[in-house]
Amino acid sequence: MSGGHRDPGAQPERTRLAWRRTTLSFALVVVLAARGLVTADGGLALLHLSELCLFFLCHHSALTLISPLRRPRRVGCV
Amino acid sequence: MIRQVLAALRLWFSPHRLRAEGPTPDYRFSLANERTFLAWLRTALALLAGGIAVDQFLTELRWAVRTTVAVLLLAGGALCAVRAVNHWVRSERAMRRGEDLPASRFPALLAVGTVLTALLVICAVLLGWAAP
Repeated sequence: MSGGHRDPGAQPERTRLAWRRTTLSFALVVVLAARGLVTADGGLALLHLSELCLFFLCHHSALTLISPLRRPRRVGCV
Repeated sequence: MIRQVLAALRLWFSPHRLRAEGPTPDYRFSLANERTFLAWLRTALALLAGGIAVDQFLTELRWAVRTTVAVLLLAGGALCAVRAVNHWVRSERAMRRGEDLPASRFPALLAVGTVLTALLVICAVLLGWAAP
């Protein structure tokens, strides 16, 4: 770990893309759960509904977290 | 055991207290650590999706086989999610303290569990456990 060198490189963009990939995976799970909700019995419906809520919560959190990464906190000393 | 679990939970949910420890690592290392966390989380989500899909789509399988496979996948997903956040936080702390990154048997266990689940499904398909 270098002492004063603070250049984040391409890491913020890569991390933002990683968050995107993760929310996509979450979206897949939600789609499957929603399908189950539509086609299946009432017992699992509540589970699937809570999954949908969790998805929207995480998606919103991820989008909120992504914005600070648009610019580095401190510009590195070059 | 309970105390360890509670300590881990406290650590997960107190990122600001973690920041008080040691010097701030290079941004690249912290962000790489975060990407590792997200990769583990995607693994967990893929296992969740697999478990739900097995339950919903493999209706030809006998109920016991289908449920076992689905539960194995879903449980694996839950464990990966726990591993994701725990390893992320402990790695960040290790970087701040200048220690080695935490060693874990979890990747080996996950690989073995995946192989076992695959073998189970292979047997179900080949030996005709599909018939309800």
